[in-house]
Amino acid sequence: MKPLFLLLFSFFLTQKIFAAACCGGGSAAASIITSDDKAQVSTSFTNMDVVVDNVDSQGVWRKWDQHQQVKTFRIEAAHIISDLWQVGAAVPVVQRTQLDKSYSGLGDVVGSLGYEYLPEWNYSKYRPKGIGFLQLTLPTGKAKADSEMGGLDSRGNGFWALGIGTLLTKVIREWDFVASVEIHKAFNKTVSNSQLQGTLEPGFGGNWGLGAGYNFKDYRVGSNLTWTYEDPIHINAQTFSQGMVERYATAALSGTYSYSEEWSGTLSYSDQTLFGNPINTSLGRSLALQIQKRWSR
Amino acid sequence: MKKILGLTLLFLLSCAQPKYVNEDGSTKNNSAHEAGSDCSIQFKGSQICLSWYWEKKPTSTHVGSFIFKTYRLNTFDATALELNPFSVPQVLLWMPSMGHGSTPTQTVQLDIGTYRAENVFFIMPGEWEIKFQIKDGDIVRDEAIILITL
Repeated sequence: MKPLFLLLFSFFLTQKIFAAACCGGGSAAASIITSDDKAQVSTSFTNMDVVVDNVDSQGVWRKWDQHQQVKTFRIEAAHIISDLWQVGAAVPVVQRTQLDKSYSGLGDVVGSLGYEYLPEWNYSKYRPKGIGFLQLTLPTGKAKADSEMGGLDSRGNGFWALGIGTLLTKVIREWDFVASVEIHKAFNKTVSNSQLQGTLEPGFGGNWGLGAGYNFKDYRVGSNLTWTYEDPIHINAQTFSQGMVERYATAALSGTYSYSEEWSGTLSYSDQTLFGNPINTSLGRSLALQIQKRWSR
Repeated sequence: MKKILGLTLLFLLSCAQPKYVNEDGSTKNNSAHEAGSDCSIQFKGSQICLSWYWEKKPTSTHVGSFIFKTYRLNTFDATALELNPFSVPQVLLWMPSMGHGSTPTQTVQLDIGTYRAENVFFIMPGEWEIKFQIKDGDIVRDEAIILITL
């Protein structure tokens, strides 16, 4: 069972660092138990360097010699409430720095409700384990359009959002495979500051990812790739823009060590400059460390 | 002859040339770099013309400033006549592809229809809109937009 454990939290660590590099944005990920445990608590620290400041609508990449740095400390927990149902929550704290300016605070808090619709009651060579989830994002991180500092003080999407998704996992001998998809809808928000008075009207967004890993002894090495898409955020004010589509892809490599059945740690490197056809976004590279404690049933 | 020379000298002294500041802090005269001097930039509602030029170009680490003027064209010979709009135009920097602005600027009036926008800083390279907004309280009554690429 250990290989499955190693797969699950290492995949989720890299999922959580697929936020857009610059200026808030991206979407927080749910905290889901995909093993047979009763509960889990994770803490992670991520350091991201923005390496491409801007990719415009034509896909032209631009960068200066000074970039933003984003540090995220995240605590998340999940607990089963029945054999197949579970609840979870994630609380991030984000610090964004550029030149001599630094802003920090709470990011977007996420709550989740999961249901194992494809349980592994018996062995199947091909049938994966499937978990579906509902996810509610709270607007505790300031939206970038709401920022008066060019997005430097934004720490998330800053919208109420409701998402639905699924995670499919399969372990075949030493190998593990995972696929995930998530779609969310963010809701309108009124903004009033020195630069903008009006309503922000976001649309739909989503993430889908694939991953695989190899397990040996107490270790796992893996990789995954996640594509992210966000609808334009229309700004309904006296005079403003229609917004533009944002998309990017995050590739990650991770290594996990399971100290015991209850404790494990994962180190992960991710890069947004390698894959996909990004537009209207910034791109970063990050290093993340996660420690997890689990309780068995 | 003395009167002719005196009048000629007086005429030459009255021709003031605008001064531009280079990135290295030096100044040079370069009126060809003043964008919109042909009324190609206008406020949408009032059709007031707008021209502008960098006084100090911002960099990735330092703020800059620019001079802008609001004027109309003389109906006789199409020369520029500076005028004051309803209120001092406020300058807003906006990046449409990324959906955010930048740090706030300040506008200082220097003369009739002549202003300096200070604390101009672009938080990242790319395509930016510089919005000149004439406000009545919080309400934007008129606006002119220029596009620049950094």
